[in-house]
Amino acid sequence: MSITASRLRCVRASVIAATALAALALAIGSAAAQPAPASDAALPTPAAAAATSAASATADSADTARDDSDKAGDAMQPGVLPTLGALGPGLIVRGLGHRIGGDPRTAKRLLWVQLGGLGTALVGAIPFAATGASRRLATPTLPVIIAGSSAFLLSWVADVYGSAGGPAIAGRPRLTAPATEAHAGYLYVYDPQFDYQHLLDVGARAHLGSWHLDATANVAVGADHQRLRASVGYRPLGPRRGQPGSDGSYLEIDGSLGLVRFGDDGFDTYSGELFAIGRYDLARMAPSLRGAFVDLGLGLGIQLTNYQVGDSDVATLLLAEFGFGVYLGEPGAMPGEVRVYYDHRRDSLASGASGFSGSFGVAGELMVSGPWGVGAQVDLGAALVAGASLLYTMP
Amino acid sequence: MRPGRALTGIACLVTASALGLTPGCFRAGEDRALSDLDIGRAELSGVAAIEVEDGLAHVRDMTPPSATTPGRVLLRGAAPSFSFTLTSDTASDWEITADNIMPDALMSVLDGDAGSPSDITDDDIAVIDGPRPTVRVFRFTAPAGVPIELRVAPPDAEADGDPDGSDEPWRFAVMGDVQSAMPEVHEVFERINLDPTIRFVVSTGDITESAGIGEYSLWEQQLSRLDVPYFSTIGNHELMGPHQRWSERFGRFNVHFRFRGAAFSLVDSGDASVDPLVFDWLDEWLQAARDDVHFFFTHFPPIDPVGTRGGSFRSATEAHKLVAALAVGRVDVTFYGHIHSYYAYANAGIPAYISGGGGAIPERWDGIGRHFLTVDVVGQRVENVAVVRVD
Repeated sequence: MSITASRLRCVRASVIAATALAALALAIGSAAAQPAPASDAALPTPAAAAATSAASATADSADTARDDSDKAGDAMQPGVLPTLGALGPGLIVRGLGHRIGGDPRTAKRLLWVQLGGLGTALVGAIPFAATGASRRLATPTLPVIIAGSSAFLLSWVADVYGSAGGPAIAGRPRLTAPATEAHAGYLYVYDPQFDYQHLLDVGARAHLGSWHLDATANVAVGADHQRLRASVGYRPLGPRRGQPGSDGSYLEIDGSLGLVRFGDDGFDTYSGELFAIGRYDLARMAPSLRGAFVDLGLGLGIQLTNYQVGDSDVATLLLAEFGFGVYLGEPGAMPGEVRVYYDHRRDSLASGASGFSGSFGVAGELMVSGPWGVGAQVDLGAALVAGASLLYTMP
Repeated sequence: MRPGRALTGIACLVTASALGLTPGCFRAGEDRALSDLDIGRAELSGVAAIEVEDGLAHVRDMTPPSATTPGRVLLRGAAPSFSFTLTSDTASDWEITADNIMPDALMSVLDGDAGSPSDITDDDIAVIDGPRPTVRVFRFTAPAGVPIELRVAPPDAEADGDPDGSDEPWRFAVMGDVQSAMPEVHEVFERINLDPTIRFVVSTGDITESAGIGEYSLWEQQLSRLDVPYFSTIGNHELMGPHQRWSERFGRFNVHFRFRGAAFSLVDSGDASVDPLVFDWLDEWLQAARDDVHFFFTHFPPIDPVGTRGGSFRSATEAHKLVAALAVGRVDVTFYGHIHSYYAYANAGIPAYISGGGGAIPERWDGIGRHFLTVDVVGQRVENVAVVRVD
């Protein structure tokens, strides 16, 4: 059997990327297996405690609860063997890493999450497949499939994270929302279908209690392509402006309007979207998963495509996104986070990786000095998107 | 160095390497587009060479002449008419077997590149009927060292569509997505055979389930039961095996041809995307056929009419770009497959049809089942697109 050159490149890239992730997990696992220094970065420090004084009551209670749960999870001994177990056979049966590491309770929970995710995905997938992807079942079943798949996949990442001793490098979430956040940066896009490659990326978000306003703009340099987006969001649960949360978990509902202009290609799109996203701090699930979080977002949109020649079209959009992230630093001391994610939408800069999937990405931000920080992202779909930005946060 | 740091360094290095390699993944159809450029060419060193214009027929086999046997060429047509140039180094007999051609197709001699007539004429070409209506054998003696330009076409291939619609109406069929129903696809073909006005069938791909060699063999057996030629691009299921299994049998993945003044563009979207090189070709095809009736075929619908389902191009922006180009190029009708049902809608005002009724697992509750489409053309006008149910 022969294989084409382009497919070979893709296979190589996939193998290399998988190797990288495995090596990274083993690196963390190896470090976790070393004798721990007295000052564990994951434990509260005086500086961190001082920095969180604004939300002291809530944070203190959270820390107390966390310390209690730490004792309960003392059995988990991360290291190379648990990491290998999670990476290899754990791919089939979740929690093997934790089981090898001596934490059967978390192992069992992860297995239940895997089975629950698989079952949920099948509840959606079986009728969808059996009806030949019926137009009547697409909208109700696909979100179920994606939600189930997220639990199925993220339980594996969580097992690897805990087995490798992820909490040793993780930080803590910010427990309040700042007044405003802004970013300015650059996006590089490699999309063989379009001329644009270099985009300016600016945006700002203002928080008012449980509400926030958000606006972003991506403007291509040397090509007639612009993306504008404005949204308003409501966060009924989790850290808000003036209302500290007990951890980083939240629920948020966003409504947004978008305009994307493809002046060089003869069309523009206008979209309206409603999106709900929830984040869950995994410290609630097990001490060995402290510092990590998962999230899942689902929504619907409607998009008008206006062609410069010909009639306009209207289409519905399924919005879905899920990810796994790790908090970095401490509130007030270089806080930040890094997150790997899947985005189901096909109209982003990265677009979809295949005829049935969206894009995959990793994004992170770190506040390096006072209100200033840096951000970076890489998205892979039909296109490669890589970006870096300067962040400013007004507390 | 601590092992953790070393492994972290390795992780960073391999990640950077992976990112460096990934641009190769973004043009999955590039190899197929490039392979199209080689279709229709064959050479027996020091004996003869053949080149089919625009790769509209695939040279499946070529054997040299001997003292007792003629040189033999097996051509598989990918269009209702095609031209080719044969250059024989010595004066020798040649036997051209043309498969998947129009039942009334004949071979004729065209003028050579230099503008001087070849040494042979149409009367020098012997015609032998093949084992089925879509196969014919043509025998002639080629002069030594003189390229002869030949054409296989039905008598009305060049008839220009009359803008006022006074031309004779004619019809072709469209189908796609056979896949696991291949053992029963002859039932669809028998239904097509019942309509003698159908001149040929155009397919949007997904003929096989998994691109197995046995499937392709069965497909060729089944095709022998169809009385008209079958022209096709590929679908995603043809990419479940090496793409060469397709090109070695049927030739090009991307085809553009004309028949009776109408333009037909069959474009490979097997990866839910159209390679930029094919986009360039398509731009030329659109420009050339801007004032003519033009039919566009590809496997994936650029935009799924059920948007949340997403049975469409992997990039919605690429899909809009394609539709915008088709609108600018004044394409008259677009045909897609992939979704195993029947949909009639429009993109940018261009009538669009999804016809995935070749028998693959059907979409339920749509009231359609196995079907194909017939398209009636009168002059430079699309008269009608109709659904023909098989079951």
